Amino acid sequence: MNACLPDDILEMCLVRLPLASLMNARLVCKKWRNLTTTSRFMQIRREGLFQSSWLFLFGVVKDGYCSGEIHALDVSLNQWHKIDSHTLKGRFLFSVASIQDDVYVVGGCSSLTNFGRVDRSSFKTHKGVLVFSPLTKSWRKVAAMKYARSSPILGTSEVNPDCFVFRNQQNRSDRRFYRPRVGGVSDVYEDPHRLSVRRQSRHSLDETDVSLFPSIKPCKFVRQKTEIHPAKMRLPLDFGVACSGVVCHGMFYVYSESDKLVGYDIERGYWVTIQTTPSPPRVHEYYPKLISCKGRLFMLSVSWCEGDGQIGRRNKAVRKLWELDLMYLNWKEMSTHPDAPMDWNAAFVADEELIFGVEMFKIFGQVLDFVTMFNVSDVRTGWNHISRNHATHDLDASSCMTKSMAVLRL
Amino acid sequence: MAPKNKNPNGENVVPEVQQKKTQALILKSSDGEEFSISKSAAGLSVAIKNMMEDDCAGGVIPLPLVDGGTLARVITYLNKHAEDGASDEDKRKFDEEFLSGMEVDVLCDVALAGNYLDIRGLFHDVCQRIVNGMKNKSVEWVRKTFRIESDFTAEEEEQIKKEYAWAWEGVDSDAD
Repeated sequence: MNACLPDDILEMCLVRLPLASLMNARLVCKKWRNLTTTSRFMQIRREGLFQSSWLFLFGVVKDGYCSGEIHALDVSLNQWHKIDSHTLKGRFLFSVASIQDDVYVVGGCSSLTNFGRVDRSSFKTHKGVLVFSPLTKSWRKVAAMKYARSSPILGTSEVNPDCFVFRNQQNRSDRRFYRPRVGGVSDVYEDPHRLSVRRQSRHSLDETDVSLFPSIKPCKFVRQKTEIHPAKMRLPLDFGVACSGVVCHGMFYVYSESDKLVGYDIERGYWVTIQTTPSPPRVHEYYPKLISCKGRLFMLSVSWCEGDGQIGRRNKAVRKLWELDLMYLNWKEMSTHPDAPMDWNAAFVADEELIFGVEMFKIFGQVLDFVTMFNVSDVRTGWNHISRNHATHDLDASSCMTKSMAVLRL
Repeated sequence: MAPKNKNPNGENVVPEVQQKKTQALILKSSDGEEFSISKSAAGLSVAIKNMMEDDCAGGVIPLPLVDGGTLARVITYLNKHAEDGASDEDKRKFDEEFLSGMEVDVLCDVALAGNYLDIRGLFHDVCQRIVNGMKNKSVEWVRKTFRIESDFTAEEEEQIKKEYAWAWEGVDSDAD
């Protein structure tokens, strides 16, 4: 028979390979390699929805050092991969965001006196933005932010090139140093600065730019030629410290530690306070995480288990997923996470209709990790554990605090 | 208006839809085997449907690119999918079983036939099946299965391996 399918049919088969197997296929022979490395091939693969989710775990600490190691979970094959990256060595408290095939690593700190360690006695804060392309395992630098940031809150959005932010070539950003978990005052910076990252979308037809919006915060906005009313551009003074942000429907939503929600209208370029029904009650130590999924806005928040406060028993904390009805602005409970919330810095990211979460914590002298997945289109199935304790055996406990996660379709 | 089921002479004729169902068609494979198939089943192949419409069908459609063994499989598939009363669930189950026993060689033949006869569902399922077999397999396994000789030099292979080094961890052994 045919050891050789015709090229077009062979191509139709190979586009369906998950990434790791595709890499393998490229080693088979020159013909296969040529077939599978064209941009057309990668486009068919992307558009045919043959890609699958990969989770990238950044910012781990090993033997006291920020190793720069990236742990990647291929969700479809349930395999962990470890990617060494010298570029990130010594850096901590950076934020990551995914745009198409790349992960953007924004800001962060490095120790000045103890290079490589998570040492906040004397450190440098970065303003640089690095881009990691897992497909080629390569790094590149893109335009830096105007000011250095650690743990900036990021949102990414596709915006039209002639929308407000581009016309004015400015953007705001927020600074938030690491501080004790309780208390803390919002740093308010006036920070008009140029858009940090701008890149042409690969889908040249829709003429959009994909942008990364580094976080925000009460910021006075330097107006250039705009007619926007200044009052609309400020965040309310009692907004507090931003703890989570996400872009949904052209709006950059930011949630604060004092349970306020604001939105930055990316097209029109101003902030609005969003008056929702009272936010879900939550345990103070756990900051909520906003998630944008399929044009819907969700929040993960830890609360005390109601009705379980029997005498002599300690009330249980549970992590719940809420959805904000964007029309009526009320929070609705969607689902309860099956795991006890052990990690107050649990990371959650969304990919299409899937929400992925990773919790890491140290118990019995070992750092454990739990990766869970939730499909917002299929609420009844609830949360699934997709991986347990694979990535983190040899990591330091401080990884729990410094980790961050991004998801890509590869 | 004249009822549609009368011919110009006023005689009753079987409505066209019904006619298609009951009428049979002969498909002739490259090695001369002939298969009878209902028009409704054959119509699931866009290519055959076009041939029927162009009326190159004197009742026998030659398919010079499909051998008898493969055509028999394709017809099994078409018959199931044209079956009245077969639910989507039934069909899905059938597809699963239909493809599960096939060797890579056979799958490739069916893929070729599915492509040539333009049977979308079958073609996509078969392609998926072919690559499912390749998941978690080593390069050597793929070469052996598809009977491909590597034309990379050892250095080139090393170089490529280096590029994607992280992608090769956790590959199954070739035992299965």
